[in-house]
Amino acid sequence: MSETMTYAAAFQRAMADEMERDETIFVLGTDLYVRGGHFAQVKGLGERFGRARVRDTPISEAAMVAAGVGSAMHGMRPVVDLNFADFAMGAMDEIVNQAAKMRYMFGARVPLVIRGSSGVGLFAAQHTNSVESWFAATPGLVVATPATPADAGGLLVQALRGDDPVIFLMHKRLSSVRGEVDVPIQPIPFGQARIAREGSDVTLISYSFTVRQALDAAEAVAEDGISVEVVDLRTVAPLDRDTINESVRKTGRVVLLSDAPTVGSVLSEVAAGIQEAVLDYLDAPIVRLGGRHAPIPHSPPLFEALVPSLDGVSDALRDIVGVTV
Amino acid sequence: MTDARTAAAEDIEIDLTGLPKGELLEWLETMLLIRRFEERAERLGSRGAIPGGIHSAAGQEAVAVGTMRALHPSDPVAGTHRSHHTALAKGLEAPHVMAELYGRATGSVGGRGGTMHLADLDRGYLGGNGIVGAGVGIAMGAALACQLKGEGVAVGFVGDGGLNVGRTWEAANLAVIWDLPLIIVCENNMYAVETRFDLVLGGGSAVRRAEGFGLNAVSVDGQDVAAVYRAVHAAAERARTGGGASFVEARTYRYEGHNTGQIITYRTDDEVADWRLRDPINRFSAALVAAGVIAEGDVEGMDSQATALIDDAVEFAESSPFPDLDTAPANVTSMPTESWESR
Amino acid sequence: MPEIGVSMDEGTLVRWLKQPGDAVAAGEAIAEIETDKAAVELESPSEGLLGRHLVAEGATALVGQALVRILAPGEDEDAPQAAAGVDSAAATAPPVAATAAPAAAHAPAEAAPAGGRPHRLTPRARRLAREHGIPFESVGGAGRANDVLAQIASAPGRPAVAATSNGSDTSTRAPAGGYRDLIARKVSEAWTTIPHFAVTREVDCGDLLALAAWCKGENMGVTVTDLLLVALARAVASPDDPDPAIGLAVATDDGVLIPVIAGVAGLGLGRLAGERARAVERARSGRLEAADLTAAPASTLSNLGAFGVDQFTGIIATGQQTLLTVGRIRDRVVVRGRALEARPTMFATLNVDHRALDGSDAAKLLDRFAAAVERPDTWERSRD
Repeated sequence: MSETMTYAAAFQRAMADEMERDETIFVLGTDLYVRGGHFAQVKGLGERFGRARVRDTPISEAAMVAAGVGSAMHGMRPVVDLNFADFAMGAMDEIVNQAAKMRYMFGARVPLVIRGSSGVGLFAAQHTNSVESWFAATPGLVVATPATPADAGGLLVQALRGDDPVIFLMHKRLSSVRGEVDVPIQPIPFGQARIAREGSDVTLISYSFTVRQALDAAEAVAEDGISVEVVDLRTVAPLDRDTINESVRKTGRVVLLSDAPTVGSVLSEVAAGIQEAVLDYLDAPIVRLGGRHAPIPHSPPLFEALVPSLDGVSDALRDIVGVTV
Repeated sequence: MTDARTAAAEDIEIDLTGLPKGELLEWLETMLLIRRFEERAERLGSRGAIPGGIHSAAGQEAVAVGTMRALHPSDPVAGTHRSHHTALAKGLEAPHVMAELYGRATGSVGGRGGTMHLADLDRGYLGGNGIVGAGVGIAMGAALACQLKGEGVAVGFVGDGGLNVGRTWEAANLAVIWDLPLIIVCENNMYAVETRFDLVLGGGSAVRRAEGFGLNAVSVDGQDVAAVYRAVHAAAERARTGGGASFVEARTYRYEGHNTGQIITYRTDDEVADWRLRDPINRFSAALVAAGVIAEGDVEGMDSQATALIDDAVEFAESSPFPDLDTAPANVTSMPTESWESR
Repeated sequence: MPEIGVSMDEGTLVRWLKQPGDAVAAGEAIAEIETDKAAVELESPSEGLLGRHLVAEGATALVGQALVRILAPGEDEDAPQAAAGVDSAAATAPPVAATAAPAAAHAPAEAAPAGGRPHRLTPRARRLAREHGIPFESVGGAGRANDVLAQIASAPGRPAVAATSNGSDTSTRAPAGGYRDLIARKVSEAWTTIPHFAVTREVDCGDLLALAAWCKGENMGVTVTDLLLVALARAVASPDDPDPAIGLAVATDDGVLIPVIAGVAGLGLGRLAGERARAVERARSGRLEAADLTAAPASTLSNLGAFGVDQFTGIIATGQQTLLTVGRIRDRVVVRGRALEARPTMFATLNVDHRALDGSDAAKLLDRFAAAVERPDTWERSRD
């Protein structure tokens, strides 16, 4: 059965269904019980499951994540809601040195989900960090970056049923986006990308919010006779390299898109992997379209100038195919 | 002013003892300016004219003015995410602050900061900060510099929410063991977003916690600008004479929600009304009138002037250009940003 | 820098395949070199350790200019050398740019490469060109996959399906494509331009087989094909070309390729066997060299004996005049004197370009071949 719901509601639905199914799942964070979280992602769960399992905390990220790690190591399945992913900074040790390394060092399972609203938006510099590449580069962590309500739900179910620590990044600008979600929500395996649009001339790879921009650009250049295949990575760690390579073999041309700064980005890792695996199928250099190497300013036009625009993506697609319009 | 109700005099009367009488009119002017600024900015935020809205400090004027006027103008100050009042009290000019909220090139930081990130390094305002508790650490660092230079006192603002963040107390501990000239001013407005402070403050008392860390700590009525002034002034004197770090809890209240457009379910209208009875501006103006510093009728005039200044500030902001787009990636480091990027 | 083909002044050292200090074997590829006519692999002339790269990747060098030295183990590269050409080149050629080349990124006779890169063709285009045997320099346009596909698809009789604007290439959809399209094109061209006729002769192989057995006893690795190559070389030798190169048709997964073996008759059987083995390996791994692509052997041998064929005619390669096609050696009944005997015989067919040779010319050529096969005792029988 298929329902239309928002991105945030899909998360909520998956949480509710899984909490119903599995008593060991609980969530902690600020303003969860009454408000339902700052993006309404757990709205209504407090009433349903009570204060022990929907647990309000002070603003204490290090302690919040430490609580998550410890309880995960001792039989529970916690979800730590950081609110903004930027607030992970206060818990970096707990995430990187504790959660990520327990399994490797001790064989301990850490089934911990850390949720944060991520990505670039109108929130000024300290609330617009693109944290996914830092965590993707940390061995021991899964990094999920759903772009659609269906994927927000499916990847969360996978995370809640799995044994790995998952950094669950929901883009700030996707909260209210609506989409079709099959219920009951089935788990989506990590490392499995989605072909959002089939094509044969260019492979356009993205994740999270910019998948929408990618689809818009693909539609725009279709009028010029350019057939774009849009690949939604879904998880930036692990990457679905097989799907990526298969697409590149087909098209020979690759554009990588994100609103995160390009330097040191997930896009860079994808590009390196592509040239390593399928260099002989490339008909043009791999293009990375990411943000400029600057923090995000408050002023909206300044901010727009630092991230890829729809026109910019469309132009890049035309350029790589060699079509002048 | 005309919408405030009067209440029992003993509860709310302000004692002007020890205050520099000649400066008090300016204090009132500034508090009025802040109030009218915040009210206007909240409306502009609701309309979308100010992108992203604001974090209003309406109701917290006395903490800002009482603190700043107890310091030397060159003393460094670091704010929280709710910092329009501390910025304006420190001397940032209203037109530039308004332009900053509008994201214009004439903003205090060229449009790059917005509501949470006002700054003016020349005036010693080390910026509002989006990260809870961060201002304490930065002010602590500035206090270290003051100690090394042999002059100055640093103030770091923090809210009740920041009392439970680790970074706040690491910074406090360091200030204590090094006897740094630091004053931590905690604006306890009772709510961290929606979370009521007394539900999450282990031990129940900010002052006792601060004392536990070795700070000289007091709690004052934050809606009483004179009380705030006296407490901060004493702490500053202590710091300037090698007496080390202090903590001042100012019990205050914000009339608006955490941020523009927040749906408020976590407190009652009665509570807000109760706090408005103790409105810091009303109380102060009443005390000034009682002391003959200003005539009652002149308060209206002062208020109208404040409103006019805000009108000018809005006009200035709305007619200011947006920053040149070419400057967007500039000044990330001392090296050109292009040199970091490929090609 | 070797001279590849004729009228070559300088070449570009595209890529070093081995680093200073690496051990290299004789014949091992140590670099990729490109000229305006061909892209080839530079092979180490001898076994040893690779010395410093005297020319950098992307730089050009004149024909004859030293690119690198092969050192004996323990040999000091910096010790004063009397070897001709090394001193001057090493002293005057700075590591970064060839001395006499006007500019480091100079690509002779090409359109300026996009973005200044040293390879005009994209990786995908290079792969396709290699797979289809299309010389890099013959690819026009922007050097992209479509430009290679356009060449392949323009073969007569083939629909222009591959050269679509959507950039897909047939090799990814039909894994066995390989050289098929190129062969189709080339044989069509040869068939339609060369007036073919053929002469056939049954040749006695008794003594040839005895020689082969002797070689086997000496562990020389010599096969009957090697002996046939010598016989053919002796047959087509002339005062102008006393020790001709012979092409050898090799069946590969991708189709028939023709590597060329130089100086067949003069090599000596043992060395010929080695050269033949290397030639077959080149063909089977799809790595033909410049000499294979640009040289015109005096003739080519095609042997389908292993497949049970008694005799067949073939299509002469463009640029050659004769093709010798031979079937299997088997015992057949022959008349000697007036008695019937079983003798090992082979049917050899000389396919001929009638523009160059008449029937009698062909017959004489075939006769010389038969004589060489039937009288191997007239060959120089050496171990090397």
